[in-house]
Amino acid sequence: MHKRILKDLERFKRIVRGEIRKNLKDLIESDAIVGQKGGDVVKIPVKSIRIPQFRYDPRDAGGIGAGEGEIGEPIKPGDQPGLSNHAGEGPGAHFPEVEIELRELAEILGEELELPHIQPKGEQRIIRGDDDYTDVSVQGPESLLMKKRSFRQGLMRQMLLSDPNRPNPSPSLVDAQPMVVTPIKEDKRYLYGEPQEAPEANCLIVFMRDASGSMSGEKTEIIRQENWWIDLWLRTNYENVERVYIIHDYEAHEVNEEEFYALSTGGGTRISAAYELCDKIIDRRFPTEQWNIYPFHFSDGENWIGDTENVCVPLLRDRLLAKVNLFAYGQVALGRRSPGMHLIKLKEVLTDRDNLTTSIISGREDILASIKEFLGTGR
Amino acid sequence: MKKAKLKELDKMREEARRLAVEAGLDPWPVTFGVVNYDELNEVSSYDGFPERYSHWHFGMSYDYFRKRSAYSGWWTYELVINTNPAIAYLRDSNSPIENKGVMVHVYGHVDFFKNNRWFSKTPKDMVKLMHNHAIVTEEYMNKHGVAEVESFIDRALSIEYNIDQYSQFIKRRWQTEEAEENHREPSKIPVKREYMDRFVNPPNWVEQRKSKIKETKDKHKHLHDQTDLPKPHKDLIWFLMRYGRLEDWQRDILSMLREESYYFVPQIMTKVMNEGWAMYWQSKIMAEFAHPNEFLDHADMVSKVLAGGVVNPYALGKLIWEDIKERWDKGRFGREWELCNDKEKREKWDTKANLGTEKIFEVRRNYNDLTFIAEFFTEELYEKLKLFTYEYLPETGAYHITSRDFADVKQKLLFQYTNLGKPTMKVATGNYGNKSELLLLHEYNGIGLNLEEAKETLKHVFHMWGRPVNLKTIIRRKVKDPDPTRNRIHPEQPLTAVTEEQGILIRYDGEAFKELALSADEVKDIRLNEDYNTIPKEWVG
Repeated sequence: MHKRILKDLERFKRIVRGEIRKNLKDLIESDAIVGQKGGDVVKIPVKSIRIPQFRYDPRDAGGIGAGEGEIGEPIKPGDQPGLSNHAGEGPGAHFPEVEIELRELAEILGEELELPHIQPKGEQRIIRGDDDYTDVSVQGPESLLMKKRSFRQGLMRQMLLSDPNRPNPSPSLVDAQPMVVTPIKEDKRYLYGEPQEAPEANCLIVFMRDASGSMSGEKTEIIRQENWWIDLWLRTNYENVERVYIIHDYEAHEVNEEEFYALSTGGGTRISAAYELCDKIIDRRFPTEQWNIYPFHFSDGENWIGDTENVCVPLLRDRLLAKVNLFAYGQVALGRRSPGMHLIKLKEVLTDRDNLTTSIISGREDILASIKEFLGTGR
Repeated sequence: MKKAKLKELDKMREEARRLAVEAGLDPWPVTFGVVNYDELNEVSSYDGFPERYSHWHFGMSYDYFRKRSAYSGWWTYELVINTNPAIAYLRDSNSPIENKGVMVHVYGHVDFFKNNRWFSKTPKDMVKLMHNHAIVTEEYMNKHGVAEVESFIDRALSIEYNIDQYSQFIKRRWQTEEAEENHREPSKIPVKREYMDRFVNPPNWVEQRKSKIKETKDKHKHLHDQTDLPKPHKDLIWFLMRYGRLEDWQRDILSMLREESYYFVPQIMTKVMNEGWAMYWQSKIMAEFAHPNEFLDHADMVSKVLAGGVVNPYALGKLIWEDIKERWDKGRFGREWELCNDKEKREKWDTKANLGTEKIFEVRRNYNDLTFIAEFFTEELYEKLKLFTYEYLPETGAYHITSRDFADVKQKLLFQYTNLGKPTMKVATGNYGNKSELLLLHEYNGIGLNLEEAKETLKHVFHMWGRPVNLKTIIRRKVKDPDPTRNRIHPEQPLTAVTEEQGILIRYDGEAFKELALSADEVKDIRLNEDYNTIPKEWVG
């Protein structure tokens, strides 16, 4: 019964994937997806998937609403229940948007950017029983007893053990004495779920950003976009994801997600303050043998004189880099692609550390490449 | 499903049917299928049919329904198809009261399918036809490749409702139609008694007329390109099927889709009436059918279906039906009633006419949404509902309330149900400019086409026509911008640009679009008298 619809579904999904892949850069640069709150699915506007027909321009068509309001008052169609034009949407109604599961979207992102699947660090692995019973075992709990199979085993045993002098039972099987099969312990078969080795699936993402005045506006928006996609990729690679948000100017503070993007401070910039706080938080709350840790730091590249080489670099080299899977630094400076001092120094001194990665984002058009630079390491 | 439960359901069904018939409904027999949520999602995406032809858009619907049921707990409440016997579905996890409600609701729909005249021409064995369409499409896919056939269906679906929904008879296959045309008898003068026939219509006179018809027809055929229609024609699918440069299998697919569109179109034309009718009877009958302890659950279920107020077709329809019943019961109709302006008198008006039931059954037989709303959406109803119209202003980037006038609101409401809520498109000729080009007309009523989408559609039509295609329409051209600061200072009285109607011809030749400005004279034939735009005059300029 299901054959045809599943084929249709498969072809539809292929079309969606193709469209998303084609428009991935646009999707990442616009805030169409990032603006959506919560849930396991996101809506993606995919105009080209809709079958075009002769329709009215919805903006020209206007409509009818119910309730209070003066003439001239602006209204939001979203607030009006059922303001859309119901007529004419007959059977096979056409949906303006496609909903896609985050998991699927992450898969597409991974395929399109050719992101390697993450290799969790360390030896920490746990044995996890799988929910799917893929195998058969000779022992197990009675609730997973496979009755038919056990009886078949019993039958086979009894046949094999039966008197060889007995006449061939098949011609007169109908008349023959009914054979009583009693499965004994050796006959019993149980459903069995193959235990699987799974990486310990805890992930900590530390988002850090320079919140001094020069970083507000478009730069913050870029960081928000980029972080959303990074977060998407990591949370589909790990089962349990925790997030820590740190903003800094001269000093560093741990904040919640909302504050992280909203706050803007006035002071100068001392990046080491954020790195130190990050290090402290890891030591106190996230033991490295249990957590895969990903700090991401964004700033415009300026730093307190001497802070990078004298404090940040030793801190990274001696302490932080040993604890994290990946440390990523993104320089967000609109319209500028040349590296600032902070980035130059990091790269100069820490060339031999392969879990440090950097990227320069000079505008929205660089977000996609930057995500690839960060996550393409497969760490 | 356990036998006992099925037996119980069947008892419930019999009871539901008995109550429906007692209430005066006259439905076909209904077969209820009990399905799990996944099967329900599948039949929902097939519009209630167990099988449809293969196309990705069904996969899209399926995906949509699946995500809906998985993430928001929403499911298809009732699903019934217009066949005899009718087929409807019950979700296996429905509570008894949900089953009762759905059953009664379904009997309401089936009564409507059977008795409303707009359904009188739909095939009653549509399940079989859909099955055939599925098989035939699959054969074509095997022969010509899935991608080839599917992309042709993409194109065909672009014009799936470009048919003439008022044409009473389905012209099924173009071949049979041509055959019919060639053997048409001249019309005779009707006679009351058969023996009069040879006097009123003498044989030699009939013969003469026959040969004359044939003569003019042949002449017509020779002198006249058949694709140059005497009158613009709404059934674009038929036209392309007949004259488009298509393979036989493509024609066949067009004809199947056309058949399906003609089958579905009465449902679109009567959505408000039909849903309202089912809700009306559900509420009525459930008063008896529901156990006292189920009553609140049922009320809760109904309120969910009716959510969204008057713009929800279920709610709007139910409201109008209830109003008709009440008015005809109290004698609130006819000349005297219409002429009475005394508000108090109108409110107390009750002649005990008791004609409500008779009236609603008459209306259910003869009307469609457009005539239903035109006749029975009264000023009293409008006042109860606090309705307004709204329009979009590009200058403010927002929708604004434009009117609370009954005439405006009703006009806008009617607009939404005129021509299935879609712009009226007609095919004028297949020999435009004497170059075998197709000319489509958009009959303009003040509301413009979505041009970007129309162009995509034209591309699809081009591939079916096989030669350049032209579309004549009217757009609004900006003449003068309003004072830009004005909208900031007086947002309550927004201003919009002065615009002018401009006829254009859009031509697509397979490679590029060309747009040609037309004079007012050249678009006279597509400018209708109606205007559905409700932006007040004082907002312009």
